[in-house]
Amino acid sequence: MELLSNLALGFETAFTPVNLLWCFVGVLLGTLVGVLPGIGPTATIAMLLPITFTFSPVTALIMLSGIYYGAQYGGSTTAILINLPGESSSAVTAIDGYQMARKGRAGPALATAALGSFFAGSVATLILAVAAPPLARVALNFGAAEYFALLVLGLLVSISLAHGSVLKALAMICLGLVLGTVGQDVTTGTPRFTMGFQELYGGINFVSLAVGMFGVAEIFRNLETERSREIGVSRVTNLWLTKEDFRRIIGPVLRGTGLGSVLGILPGGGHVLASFASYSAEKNLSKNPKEFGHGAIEGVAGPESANNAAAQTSFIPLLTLGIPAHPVMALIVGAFILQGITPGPNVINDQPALFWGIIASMWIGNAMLVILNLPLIGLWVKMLTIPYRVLFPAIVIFASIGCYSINNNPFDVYAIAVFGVLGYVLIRLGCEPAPLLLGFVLGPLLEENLRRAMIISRGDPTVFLTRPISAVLLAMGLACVIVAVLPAMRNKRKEVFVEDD
Amino acid sequence: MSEQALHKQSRMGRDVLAGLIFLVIALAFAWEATHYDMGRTIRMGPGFIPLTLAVLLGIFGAAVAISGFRKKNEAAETGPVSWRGIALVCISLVIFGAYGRQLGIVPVVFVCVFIVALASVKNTILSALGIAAALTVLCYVVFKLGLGMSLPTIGPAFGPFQRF
Amino acid sequence: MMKRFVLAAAAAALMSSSAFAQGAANYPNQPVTIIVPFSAGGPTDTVARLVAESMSRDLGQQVLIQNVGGAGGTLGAGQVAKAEPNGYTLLIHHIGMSTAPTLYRQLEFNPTEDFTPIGQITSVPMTIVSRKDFEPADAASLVAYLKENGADTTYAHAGIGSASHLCGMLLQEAVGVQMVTVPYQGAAPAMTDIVGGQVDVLCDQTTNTTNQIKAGEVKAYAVTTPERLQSLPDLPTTAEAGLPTLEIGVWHGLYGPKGLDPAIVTKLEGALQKALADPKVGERFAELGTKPVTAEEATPASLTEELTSQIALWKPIIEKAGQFAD
Repeated sequence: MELLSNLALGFETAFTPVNLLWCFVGVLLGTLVGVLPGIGPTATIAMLLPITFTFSPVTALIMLSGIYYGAQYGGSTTAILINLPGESSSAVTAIDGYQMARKGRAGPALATAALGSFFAGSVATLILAVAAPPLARVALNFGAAEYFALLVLGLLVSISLAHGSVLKALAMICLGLVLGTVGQDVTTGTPRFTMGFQELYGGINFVSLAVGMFGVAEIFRNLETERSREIGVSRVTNLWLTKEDFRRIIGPVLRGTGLGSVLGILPGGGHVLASFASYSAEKNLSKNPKEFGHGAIEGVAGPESANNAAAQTSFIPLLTLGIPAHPVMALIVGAFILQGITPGPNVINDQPALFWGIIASMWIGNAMLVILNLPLIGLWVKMLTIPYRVLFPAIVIFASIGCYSINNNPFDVYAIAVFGVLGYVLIRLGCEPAPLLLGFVLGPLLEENLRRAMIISRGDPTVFLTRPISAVLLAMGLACVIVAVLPAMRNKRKEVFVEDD
Repeated sequence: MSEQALHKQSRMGRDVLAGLIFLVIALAFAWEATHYDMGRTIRMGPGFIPLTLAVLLGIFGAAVAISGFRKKNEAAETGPVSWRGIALVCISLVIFGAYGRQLGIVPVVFVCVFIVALASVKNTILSALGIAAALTVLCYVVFKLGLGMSLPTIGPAFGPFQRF
Repeated sequence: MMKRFVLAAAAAALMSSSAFAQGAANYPNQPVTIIVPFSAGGPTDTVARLVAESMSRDLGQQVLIQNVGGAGGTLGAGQVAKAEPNGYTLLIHHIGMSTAPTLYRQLEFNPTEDFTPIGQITSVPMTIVSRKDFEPADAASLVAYLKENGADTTYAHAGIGSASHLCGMLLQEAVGVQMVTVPYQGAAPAMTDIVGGQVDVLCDQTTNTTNQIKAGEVKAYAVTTPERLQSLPDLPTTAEAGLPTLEIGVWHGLYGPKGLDPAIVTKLEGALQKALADPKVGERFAELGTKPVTAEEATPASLTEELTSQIALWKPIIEKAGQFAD
């Protein structure tokens, strides 16, 4: 069978001592920098590119890919431990992961993240090996109209992200969408809401927003009660999952892997939806959705798996078509070119050892990651015993350095302060930050694709209904709303009684 | 007024205030968005989407505020606002952004951590200095030696003592 | 206010100490940073990294790349314009340096006055491509098709002021029609939609198109240079295709801030010329579908000439198209 001989070639390539070593270095570095907020895979790969000049192409790419998916593992660690998400995917993990940590269940949360990621990573790599070229073809059918429909569906489904008032969640999504329009308009170049600052032309930095709304706002909240009680985790119950935990995470991990694998293939930003979509799905499927937002283990298992599966399958457009799906992939394209290989549809045939070597190394890398990360859990959890008065200055300074290093733009650091205060005020008033983040991530994509779809259709709005994929996605969105609204209306009468007792 | 009624009122105020914040932000964005070109359906201008979103935000904001008058919400445990903490953290972030490149990573981390540490009533000047020193060493090792970030170790502000 | 004061004090401190660290005689005695005003991984970043790696060997100091993206490259360029002219902060920018003064009506720097030109680096050719089931078979029929149906043809570009946007303006000017322009955020999504058949035409750098052309994922019509390319020998030039006015190359230059010591400029110029003569750099450039400029072009005089003539060339074209970036 051709696949087997290809995989044999891949493992032969990946299992040389040099490649194993650099794969390990890559995933180790990735995990470590993923832990630091802001210093994500983009910054690290950019910094390490010069080192890889001296490597053979396959070694260089194995190491750089290792950094990328290693960082996906590490990113959840700070989100869970100190509520400091470094990217959109870990922002979702922070919602329930941090609550688990506060209840002394940081160990199981981290273990869930590691196991879920490992499973998802392995399955998605298998998909990559078996069906990359045909899947990439299918993904190409996604034009602007389809993306717009997909994003609308994503927004409609995600209203359940909030665990409080739906109205406030809707307002927060809108606020996020509005904030997402800050910066230079893609279509015309008009700077919007920049108040004349060129530094704002690129828009508000996501990491600053997330770090401010989650991490810094949480610090402000903790400082409120500092006098009256000890902040931090009082007791750490156990480091490992119980049998009950295992039972609860199987479903979310499987569904998350499926959702993430599909969304990751879309080259136009489907991967950002993965963890949000998985979280919403789990919450809607759960028997007690009230637990979400208060430390539901499903809320960690699903998004983490989805995120890692998407990270893996987002290599598909790159490896088969030479089209990078997001900035990290663009950087890996740069690495290919620096190595003298221009990624494109020919790589799979012209450089089979490279193509299959990278795929095989992903399996090995994922295995290394889980072996590396499980023992680290004990260490990370110990970090929580650091007194809070020492921990929070560290959080603030890591956030500053991390955000600054993304673009060397001081405004990214000022934004932490602005959104820290805004987040603090809104959270105090009972609004959840997660829907805002979702709106912020999806807003620019939504606008760009809507406007592009309208230009391509020459101003004909029916394009969203006449294109089959888009029509199906919108119908699904409508169905979701109906399903969500009907029981809510029925329950409303009951709730009135409950509230008044 | 009974204590219960007072409590209820403050909860009501929470939603009204949140709704008003959304409304104010919506108005600010909508007002600014009207300065941009709206375009036509085939080629929507830069102002169209922001204005639409701002109007939506305004509607939801108003709804939140109105619902605040009508119904109660679950109370959230909140303590007194730590004005000092908020101010010190913000000052530190501004210093880092504005002077990081001039000062270099070692001085700016030391100064910023010292300021942030003072946000906690449990830190004394001495313990803040200690935390600042420890984190300075840690950040230098991790970010400068480990990751080779582009901020100088000691910035040009220190003249002859500048170190890359 | 406070910031101004501290910066002024810092600058004063710096000047008083310039004899220590900033002397031209022992330049460079610390790592040199080249700012690339675009995100990492793009074509300009790749060009810069290849050159930087080779230059660092000649200078005996590390040459680091720092990506300061945003506002069509004007943010990073503005940062270099304001930097100390000590030779440790340099800029590698492309054709956008010459279009910025027209595209951005409130530009905070002047490309001809606020920089010290050091030398040209390379000029990346551009190719006109389309989705593979697009009707016209060759360049001549493309021109005929566009003259007929141009107003109904979609033209993708990578954002206002991007090379593909500039090339699109030239193409429309040359054919004499106004196409439906579809902006994207970067070259990759534009190429995705060309390969996926969502839009019709794109003109982009060979760095982004060569592989897709070779694999038959897109249809190629012409290359925008006076001569045919080694990497795509079957592709006619725009002049051969009957569009002699459509000539564009994405030229890259190395700059320092205004007032750079002439001795430092000479040193950097020498290092740049050596880097461009490096066979490894030449080899990688060739794979990108480009080649390094000659030693005569890698000089301050040549870069100044290119910059001024390009600013003059683009001003009327952009103004006529009426598409500004602010």
